[in-house]
Amino acid sequence: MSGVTVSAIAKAYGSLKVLQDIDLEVQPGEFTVLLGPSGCGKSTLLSAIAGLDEIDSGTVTIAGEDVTDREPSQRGIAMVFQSYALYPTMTVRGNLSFGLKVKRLPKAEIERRVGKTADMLQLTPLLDRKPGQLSGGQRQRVAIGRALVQDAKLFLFDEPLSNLDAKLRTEMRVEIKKLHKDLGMTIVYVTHDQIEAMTLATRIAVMKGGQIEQYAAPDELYERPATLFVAGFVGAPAMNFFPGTVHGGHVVIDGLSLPLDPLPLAGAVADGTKVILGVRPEHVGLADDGAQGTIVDASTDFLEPMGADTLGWFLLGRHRISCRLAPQRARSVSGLVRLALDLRHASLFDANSERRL
Amino acid sequence: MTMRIGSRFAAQTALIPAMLIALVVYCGSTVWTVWISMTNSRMLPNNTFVGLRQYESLFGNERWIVSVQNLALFGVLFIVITLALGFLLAVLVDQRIRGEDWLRSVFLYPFSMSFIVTGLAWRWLLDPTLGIAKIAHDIGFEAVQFDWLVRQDRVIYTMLAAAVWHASGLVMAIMLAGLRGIDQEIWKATRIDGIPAWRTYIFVVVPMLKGSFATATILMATSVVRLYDLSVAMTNGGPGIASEVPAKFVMDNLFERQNIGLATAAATSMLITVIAVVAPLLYLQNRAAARAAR
Amino acid sequence: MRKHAKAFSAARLGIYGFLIISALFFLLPLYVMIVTSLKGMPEVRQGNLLSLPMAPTIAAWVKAWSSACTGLSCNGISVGFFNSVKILLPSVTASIAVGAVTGYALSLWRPRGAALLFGILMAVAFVPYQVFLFPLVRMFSFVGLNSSLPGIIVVHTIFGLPTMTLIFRNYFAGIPLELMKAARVDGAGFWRIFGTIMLPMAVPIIVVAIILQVTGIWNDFIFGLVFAGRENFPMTVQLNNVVNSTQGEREYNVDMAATILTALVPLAVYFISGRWFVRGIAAGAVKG
Repeated sequence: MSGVTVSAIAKAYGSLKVLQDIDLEVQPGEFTVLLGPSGCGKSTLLSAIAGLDEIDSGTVTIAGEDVTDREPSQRGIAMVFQSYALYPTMTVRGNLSFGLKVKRLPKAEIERRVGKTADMLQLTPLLDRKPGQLSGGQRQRVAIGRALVQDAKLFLFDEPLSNLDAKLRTEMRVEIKKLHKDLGMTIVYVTHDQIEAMTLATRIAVMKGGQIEQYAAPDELYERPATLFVAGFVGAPAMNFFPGTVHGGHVVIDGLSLPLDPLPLAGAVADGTKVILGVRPEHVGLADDGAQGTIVDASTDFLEPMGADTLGWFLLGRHRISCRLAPQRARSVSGLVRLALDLRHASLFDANSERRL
Repeated sequence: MTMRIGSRFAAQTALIPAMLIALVVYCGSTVWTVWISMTNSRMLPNNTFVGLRQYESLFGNERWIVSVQNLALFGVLFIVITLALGFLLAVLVDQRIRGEDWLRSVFLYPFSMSFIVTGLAWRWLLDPTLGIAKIAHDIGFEAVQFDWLVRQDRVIYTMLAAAVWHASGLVMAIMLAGLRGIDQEIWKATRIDGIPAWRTYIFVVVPMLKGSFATATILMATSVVRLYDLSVAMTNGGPGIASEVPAKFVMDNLFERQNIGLATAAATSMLITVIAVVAPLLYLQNRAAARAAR
Repeated sequence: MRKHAKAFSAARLGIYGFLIISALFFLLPLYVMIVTSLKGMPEVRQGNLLSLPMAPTIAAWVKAWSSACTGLSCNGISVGFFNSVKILLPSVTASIAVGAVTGYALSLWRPRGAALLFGILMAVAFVPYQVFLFPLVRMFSFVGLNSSLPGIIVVHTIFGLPTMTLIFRNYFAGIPLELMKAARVDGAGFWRIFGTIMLPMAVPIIVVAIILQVTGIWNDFIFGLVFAGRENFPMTVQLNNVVNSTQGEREYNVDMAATILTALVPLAVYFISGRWFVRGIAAGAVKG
């Protein structure tokens, strides 16, 4: 088991910089998710690690060896693709063993590995079928099997679940998580789905515009987003943002003044700094129900039932603020309300640099 | 980088045969042909540059002029008739008729046969003494002289008939594929709007089939320029020089009349004509394809 | 939906009428060829072109196959048939092999010069062959390939290249790129990917290519005439010689039997392959 180190990787298509001096370190046994919107460079970064895309500069080290100039097959990696990329004319057995045959492993060893992997993934009864005869979930498992059979040092997943329907996706997510727990392999996993990222990862690297915005454990990322982008991208329903100015230990938002001391700030913020205050919906409550925090007056805008809870939307001056409510409680909410903002969990960003203060 | 270079190298090596063919045979031959056409080569090629003198004598050569006139007349009629007939057949076959598969096979089978076979079959059919002419005679039309195959001013139309018979099915197949690719909702929409079917075809369907028409026209035009076998099999250029065509002119001068300079000048002229005709059509077709992709 | 098919209407009657007349026009030459070939010469001369043979005989077929004359030799069209087979098999194989490899390299590897090569190939699809003939004859004479079986095979490979490359390139271009990536991660190289993954996937397009090349090469006249040499004249050239070099009285029944015999292979390909034939033409016709 071994880690990956990516240092100062850059890649550009003409004037478009898809990767800008990226550094990333993945510890042995770690499950790192590259998360971001489409076009953020996450798939390109994965391809660069795999050696499928050439990079302009920088190095890739896998298991302590510099593999920057090596072919994909010489890097000790295995990969699962979005479209599964199963060889359509080969049986499941053929798909699993192809890479081993290319590497000229002894027949007995190939059989042993294929058998073991098929067993683990419940593919044994399907070994003689062709991909065309399999369901989406089964194909997905074959694709994972083709990677596992390699005994690779590093496993790369490129949006492997995005072609599955919602229910199957949840099932496969659990399966992948379990595989990682049981086998403890090193994984780099690309997705645009933040729930997938939050549930699977030991660490998440949020990417935007060819750069890593933040690389941290899921709860750290969620609770202490390093940038405005991360704060907005991670979490559903999304964080509430309020632009304001710092004045005498308070943040002033359109005449509404909120104290800064409950906030977990890294240091003092100078007066006159333009800031953006971020509060997650679960940190807003109804003061009349005993919710703790800074009290503000608001009026009810509309309610959005989401099943397990209801999202209440209120008007705070000219800003809209959302709040998670219990469904039963939400039914009787109307008119003017008093909201309690739990600022101990709020985030404050510099409006210019968009970085956390 | 070892493996990567290996595979790149293999890919590059794999292209060598095609590259050789493209550069040596296609480009090399073309340049050579154009060069010879500017020399006074006769039986053997030589390098005495004479400028455009071969072209002067080419366009003063009656046989060549007749060939070009024949090809122009034949080409225009052939393309117009095959497109019209092919489109009409496709539209009719597309009307949910019985025996569609059978009819399609019947219309297309001539295309599978060679021009030699086509030419010989039609030559027999139009034989002035024993062919269709004889039937007309036998049933009492004594006055009918169906002897176009041996009449200088009519022989080109007999080739036209044979060629139309050979190629119309292909146009039909292309048009039918185009028609089947049209969104069925268009028909629903025009029916709700109360537009008669014939109007829909002319004002809606034909513009939508622009790409199919361009493809068919390119194929037909290419085969017009290559027209050679049919002339050889049906008339061998006769009577006299009445059914000569440019491709045959080149062949005769290359291999029988030993006038290489003149033959290559003729070939070069054909090439220039093709470029002038095909380039705009290709442009049209690509534009239609690009628009369809959007 | 199109107009509801009414059981009986003037318009539908017109449609069927036109289609049936067209079908007769298309079938007429084949019918005339067949009935003529089954008649004896006296009946051909006196009888009606369209009438069925009164006493059907295959004598003309036998003569056409085994003893019809071309100039001095009277060995029938069978010589041409076997020559055509000898030309056909290697030519089809070689042209498809080169086209498949070229199309694969162009679409999935994009080596240097790919765009230029493809541009040249596409342009050549329209150029009249007459432009290439003389230099090619000279080149072939120079390397000793002229008027030989290998010579005509090479010529068919050369001129099959544009269409073959095009259809394979278009087919491989439709294969998801991730499949190539997966194969590269598995460690397969250029030829291994071609042989074990791409070729097995390309079976449908190989069938299309075979149909195109078998009919195209069998029907070729001009290359056979120029490059094959007298010994190896293909069936089309032989047929034309049989029919057009007749001394004395023309035997139309033998001519027609020979013509049908020559058309038999492509006709068989056409009727057996059915829709694949159309697919083949479409694949070869759609440029770009």
